[in-house]
Amino acid sequence: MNELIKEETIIGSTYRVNELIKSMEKRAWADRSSEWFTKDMFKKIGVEHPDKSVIVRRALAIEEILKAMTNKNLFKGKNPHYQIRNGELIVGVIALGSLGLGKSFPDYLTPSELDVTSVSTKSEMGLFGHDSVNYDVMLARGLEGIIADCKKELKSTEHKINHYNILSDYCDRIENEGAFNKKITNLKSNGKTTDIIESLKGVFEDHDESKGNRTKAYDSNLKGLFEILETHIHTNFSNISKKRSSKQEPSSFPYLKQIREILKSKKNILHNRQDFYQSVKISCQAVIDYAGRFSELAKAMSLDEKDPIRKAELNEISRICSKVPAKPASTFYEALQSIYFFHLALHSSMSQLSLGRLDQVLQPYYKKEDHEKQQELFECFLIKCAERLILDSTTFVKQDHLDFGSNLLTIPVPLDQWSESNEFLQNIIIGGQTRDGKNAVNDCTYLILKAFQKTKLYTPTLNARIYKEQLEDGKYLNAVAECLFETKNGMPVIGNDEVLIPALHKFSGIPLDEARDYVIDGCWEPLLNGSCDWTFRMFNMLTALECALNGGATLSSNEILLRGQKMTYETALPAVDKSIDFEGLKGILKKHIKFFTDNSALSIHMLYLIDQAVNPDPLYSALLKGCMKTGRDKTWGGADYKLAGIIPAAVPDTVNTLSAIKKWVYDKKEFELADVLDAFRMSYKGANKVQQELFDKIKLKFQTDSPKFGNNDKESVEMMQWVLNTFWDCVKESHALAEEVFLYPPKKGDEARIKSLRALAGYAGKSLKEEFGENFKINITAGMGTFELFDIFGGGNAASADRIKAGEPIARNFAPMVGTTSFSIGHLLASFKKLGLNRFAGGAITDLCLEERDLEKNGPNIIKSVIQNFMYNDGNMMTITISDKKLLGLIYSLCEKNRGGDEAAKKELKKYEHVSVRVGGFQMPFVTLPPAMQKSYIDRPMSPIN
Amino acid sequence: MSKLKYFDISWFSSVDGPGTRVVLYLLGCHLRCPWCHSPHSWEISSPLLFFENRCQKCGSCVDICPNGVHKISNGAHLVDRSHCIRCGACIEICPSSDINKWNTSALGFVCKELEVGELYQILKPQLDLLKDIGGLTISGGDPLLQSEALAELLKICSMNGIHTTVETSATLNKKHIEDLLPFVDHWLIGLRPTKTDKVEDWKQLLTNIELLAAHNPNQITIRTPIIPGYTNTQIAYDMIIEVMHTNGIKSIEILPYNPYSENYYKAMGLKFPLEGTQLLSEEELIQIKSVFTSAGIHTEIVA
Repeated sequence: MNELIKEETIIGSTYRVNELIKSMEKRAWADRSSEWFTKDMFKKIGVEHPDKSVIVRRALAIEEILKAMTNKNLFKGKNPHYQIRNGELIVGVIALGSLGLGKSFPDYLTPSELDVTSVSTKSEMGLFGHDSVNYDVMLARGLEGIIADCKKELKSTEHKINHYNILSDYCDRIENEGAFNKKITNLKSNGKTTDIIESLKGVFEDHDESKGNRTKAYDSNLKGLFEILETHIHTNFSNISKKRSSKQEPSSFPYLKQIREILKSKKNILHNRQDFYQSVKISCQAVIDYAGRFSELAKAMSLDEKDPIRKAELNEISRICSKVPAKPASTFYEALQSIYFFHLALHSSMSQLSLGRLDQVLQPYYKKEDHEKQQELFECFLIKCAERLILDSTTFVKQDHLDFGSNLLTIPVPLDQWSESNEFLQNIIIGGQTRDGKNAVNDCTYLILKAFQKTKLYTPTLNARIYKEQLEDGKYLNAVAECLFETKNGMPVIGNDEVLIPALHKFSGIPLDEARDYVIDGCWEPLLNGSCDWTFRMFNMLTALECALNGGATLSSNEILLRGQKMTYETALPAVDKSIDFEGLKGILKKHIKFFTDNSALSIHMLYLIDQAVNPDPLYSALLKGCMKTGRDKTWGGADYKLAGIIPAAVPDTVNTLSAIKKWVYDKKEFELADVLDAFRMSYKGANKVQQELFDKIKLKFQTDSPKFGNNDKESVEMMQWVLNTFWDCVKESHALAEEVFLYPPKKGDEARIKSLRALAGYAGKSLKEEFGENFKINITAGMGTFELFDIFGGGNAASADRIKAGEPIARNFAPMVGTTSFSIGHLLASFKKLGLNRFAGGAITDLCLEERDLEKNGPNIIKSVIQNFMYNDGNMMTITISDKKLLGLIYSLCEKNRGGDEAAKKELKKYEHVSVRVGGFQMPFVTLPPAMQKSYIDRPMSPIN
Repeated sequence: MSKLKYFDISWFSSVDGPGTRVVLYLLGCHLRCPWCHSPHSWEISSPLLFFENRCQKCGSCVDICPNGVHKISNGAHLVDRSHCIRCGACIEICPSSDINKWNTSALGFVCKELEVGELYQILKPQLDLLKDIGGLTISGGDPLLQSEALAELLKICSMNGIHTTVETSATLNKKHIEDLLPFVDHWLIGLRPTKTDKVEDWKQLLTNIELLAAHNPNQITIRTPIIPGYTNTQIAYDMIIEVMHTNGIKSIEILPYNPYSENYYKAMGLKFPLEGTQLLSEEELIQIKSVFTSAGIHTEIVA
């Protein structure tokens, strides 16, 4: 069974892997709607524990689902989550769920919290995983190590709370007896802090009834207590004394009120700490217990197993599951199983997180002499991550479990649920540099590449980082190119270290070692390795252009909206006001871009405060750097870094449209802007013959005789430079504004203004730094892309210079609009060189599609040259998929038949499940895509760039 | 700097010389091979191309043409090129045409003319990409007709480490080849003896091949189109083998008849000379291939 396989037709390195993939695919084609949990299978955590804080309830919900996943009685006694399949080496089963289909998870909000989510639009179903875990610590220490830390912290926190309680008691007594007041008011108004502290101590001494018979421990408690008090008085004294020196002589001593407030907030923080460590402990223990139940299952199965080889395997599985993730891993096998358990727990409990730099994480456990076994194990691991696949798209609608609460924006971005049905936000990233700038490629890098090449799975997504030195290192680049050539499905995605590291370090304020350690979010945005919490905002750049052309409204043909759908400020109409030249139009456009970057930057800061009340994440925070040290959840300022991206879509379309307007309206003066806007509104369909002739002319000039991004011509490159520079400036300005309003405590004398700005945004609380500490900061990164939303985004736009109908898809990610490039890949890549893409740490990803027949001869070498040229031209990120238009057409027609209920077509379709395409955010099996999107892949003209 | 006239560029070819290449198609050819799949390359100045499937029959061209070249009657657009003075007015006015993009337009001139330096700048990004796995191929037309200007372009390429290939019939005066020789890394020589060949052409060809082979026979690949009724004869094969053996040339590419060239004849208002010619079968091709391989020649079928 474990022999290495020679035959071509077999998927994976061994027969075992082949069988496991086949069995997975068989399940993927079935109707899986009965495998989903229903809410009645769970305890109602929110109702049962209304007095517990939301983070503890979330931990209990994690515990609840992991219990339900191993409850033999559920699913009529056939719980699909509690089984070990024949041949499996890595065990555990992730509950179904994806970005597009949502999840089924125990309710942990209380009924009144749930009611309030109607206004916050953030619910328990908030699927915002989008982070990447660093598994180093867990493998080295085991979850028991983390639980031990929790226990220690809980004990010391309790201790501190006791201190504060005693101090509160003192305050009560002092107040009642008035002695403190008397003593203090005797001090001069400009008395030194040390005097105040000394007198405070005296008062305490005087009033301590236990004086004389106190224990040593009590003494040290008191000492600690005074230290705390001292710090607070030092920091607060200057304010207090100034207040006192103002003319108003206090009738009662004000310090006591101050001290009480300090005590109260300190105690709140400590209670939050307690809840944090408590919930980390509960959720980590829940994973350990889950693993234990798989150990039992494996043991029980081994007793019934006749085949001695499988029996031994089951015994080994049982042993490993009783060891990890509780204890540190000591072998490659244990490490993989440990990671899988944690990954499974995260993904089953709403946190769809990426797997990070697995080549770096696994290398310490890798043994050269066991290479083949480890290769097989890793492939088994990949299959376990992929086995949530649902390939028959006719069953999607039955499995839609998403609700309103997965929204993360103030300006909503509609989701394309269908195309996201098989997106799990799980990335693996390999290669690149180490934290100290050395070559990070190792044995596991090659092992992982080979596993993807052999299994040809489309999830997890593999990413390969490359830096200069590796361009010389033929072995790594060859392996990457070969994997791309063999899989054809865009694995791995290429990340250019030479551009992304400076983008993070120089342009986004991240320390160099952290920047060198970057990983990838569930889609493609660069993140820090297990040390940052990430969020992002998107907007549509073409909408900003429409607003600039049309006084803050979209170019809608809907008459009841009069001028159009109002989106931003009303600005002068360049079609009416002839004094506005092209530079004037650019100035107006900048205002509208700024509207969207303001909205993004402000909402990133303001909504940070909501997460803690609805989506705390104790399980992820257990491993997220900073949280355990500070005793703060990731939603509560715990992570070392807070990263947030602002990512506009339709940047290429904006450049194309702006260039055409410049050329034909402002430079050549061949058309009136008003006519052009009407042509856009009306999809170039004139109301009469005369208008139609005019629109035809505009269409011809705009579509075929105007500069288009991707051709490396001077005009389109300069326009792209302007758009990117303007966007970049806007991000900087918006970030500064957001920090002024939300991050910093208001400057002296500026309190009222800042307070009213916050109130304007609907927020009345403290600044983020006051709330989460002096070091709190959100680093904003900028990027360009659409993810899988190019179709749905375009739905809101009128026609443009590169789209002949309103509602047509916009350009994918940061790639030229299909059909608008008459040159080559080399020209597209050469145009990057002049754009300064090393500013964009949010990622500017370009999706290339190569025609299969062009690669028949020399395929891997061509791919290698494309990668080298991309690096040479300072490209940012890139995917290369290989496809065959005819084949896609055939699959599309089979899908249409399947959608009509043709069983034979469904059977035939199974042959093509491995054909996948890049859908902006990730690779997707072509068979699972919505019909309109499938069609767009067939209709696009195939040329080297598309 | 001199100028070059060309009619097309292919950015990603794996069948025109070693590796993956950019192909620049130069205008002008002194031959009129009936199987030619780019008749629009023959004249060094552009013929007016008309692609009926892209025409909206709006009549704008009829009104604007000073010489009555265009006529629309009974829904058909007729083009009388004999009076065409190549002013381009019809292309400018046509709603379905773009003067810069003849291959997506209804009406168009194929000729583009650029200074060698400018042309190199256009080619450069993709040449940079293909530098290690291919290079630039000059095809046509027959590139020898513009050999002086071409030598300048190829010189820039060699200076930048770009591999160069020239595809030619090699039937022009050897001076043209001598112009290019220092800057060409590989030659694709069209060798396809037919009954109607002129003796002097054949002699010139042999002289030129000798010249190139004396330089380096390994830098030559013979290309032979297999055209039913013209070049698919045993005599022709024997002649090719003899030339190759004599000159120490070791490899040949055989190019099966391309049935998709009718389009361009139509666009030029010409009759397609090979109309009705059948495609060669897979078996026939393999049989022809074996003729050459059994003579010890490395043979590839390029489809």
